[in-house]
Amino acid sequence: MIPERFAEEILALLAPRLAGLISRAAERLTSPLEEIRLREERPLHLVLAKGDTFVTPAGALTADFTQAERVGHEEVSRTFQAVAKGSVYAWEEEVRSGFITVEGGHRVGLCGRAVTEAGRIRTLRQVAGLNIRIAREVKGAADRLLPHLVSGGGVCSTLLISPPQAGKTTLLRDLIRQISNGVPALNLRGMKVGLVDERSEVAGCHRGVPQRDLGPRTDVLDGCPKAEGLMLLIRALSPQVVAVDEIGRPADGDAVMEALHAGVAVLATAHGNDLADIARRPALAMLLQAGAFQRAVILGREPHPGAVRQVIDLQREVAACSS
Amino acid sequence: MFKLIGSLLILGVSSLLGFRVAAAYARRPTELRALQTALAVLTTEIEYGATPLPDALRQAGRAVGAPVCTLLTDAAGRMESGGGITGGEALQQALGRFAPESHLRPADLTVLQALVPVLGASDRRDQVRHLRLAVERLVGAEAQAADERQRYERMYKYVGVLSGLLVVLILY
Repeated sequence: MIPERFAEEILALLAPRLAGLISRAAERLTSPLEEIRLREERPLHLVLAKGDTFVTPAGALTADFTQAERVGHEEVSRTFQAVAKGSVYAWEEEVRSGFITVEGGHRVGLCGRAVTEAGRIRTLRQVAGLNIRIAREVKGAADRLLPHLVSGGGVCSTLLISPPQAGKTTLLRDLIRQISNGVPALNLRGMKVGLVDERSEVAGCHRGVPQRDLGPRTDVLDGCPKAEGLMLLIRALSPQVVAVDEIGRPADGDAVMEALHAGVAVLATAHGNDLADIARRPALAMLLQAGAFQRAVILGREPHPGAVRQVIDLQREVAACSS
Repeated sequence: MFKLIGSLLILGVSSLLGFRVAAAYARRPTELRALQTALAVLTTEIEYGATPLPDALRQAGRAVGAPVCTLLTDAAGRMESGGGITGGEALQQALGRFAPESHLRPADLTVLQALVPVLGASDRRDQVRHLRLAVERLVGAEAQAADERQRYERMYKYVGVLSGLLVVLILY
């Protein structure tokens, strides 16, 4: 139940005492570890794919949080500095938006006291809570879905819809990898894929190099705003498919339309429970009305994250499959 | 003959001691100025480049000569070697090695010590504020060091040579 490279990527960030506790606790987990939550002066908390647990001073697991080890001030600030590679000032934009992506594509959420200026968050001082979200690469996550998205040797423009933590990023990553590799069984030749990875979540770029396997024909624009990034990709990198995570703003909608007019297929994700949720958001509703997407895929957390609940063929408006 | 060799030895040693003390007076302002330059480069790197601290420290080190250069690259190396040490701790450890090699006074070193808890630990504006303050204090220390240099550098050279001569004359 310990993810690959756990010691190098995750334990190396933690204050030494916490790293020891968590490494002992991780060996006893029965379900994949999703989040490590450090809250100053509060119990050390682990969130698993199924349920959650606390860690005792001996490194054992317990459901009773009063028995759990408490995280110290020094440990939170040390971990925060390690996450920021000793250069908090170099991550101002990230701190302002509340998270930092670290090597391996793991995302560290920040919580603390906000310093505001003219109604905007300028920075977080006294970071007192950290949420280390462990990115998982599940090769083959898209195996069952991909056949529904391929037609005539090409890829349909697809919108993946899911509530948070239901595995849409994992699924998008595997779709990109397979499309980039090519899937002979589906008569799909490898295609050039361009990815705009605004929050470094999909590719987990470190110094511009993807840490996740995205296939041999994939270009990644890391840390780039989505709308601008899509235009740049189309102008400069001649992709056949573009992928983008979490669209929703009006500018995103325009950029997606632009991509479609350029004859490029679009893979995008959005937060929501079903198509009705999506239709309530103006930018996405505009895209649906314009017929931008050929498929919509609804994901759910049951029976496991990344489970495909429904694939909707938007051209025919008929449910093509449900599992 | 032995008397002559002995006298020359005494004269040589006392002059050498005098010149060494004088050199310490001469080097202190130079080192203080190098530190100011280095911190100014570091400030620029942080303020305009948002350069990660190890790289910024190396850039700053490149702008000056030893031993300040060694101090900064040493700190950068310690940060890069991992083991979860913060920027401040890396500076602290590097200062421990730097202090005996440099000609700085403990008071000068406290200016750098003051950076230990803050280096790399806050946003850009805060970093720049602390670095500017450190540079200001170094400027003050340098003025004082230059003044002392003017007064004592030549004096200690003379004292070295002349005290050697005096001893020789007494013994002769």
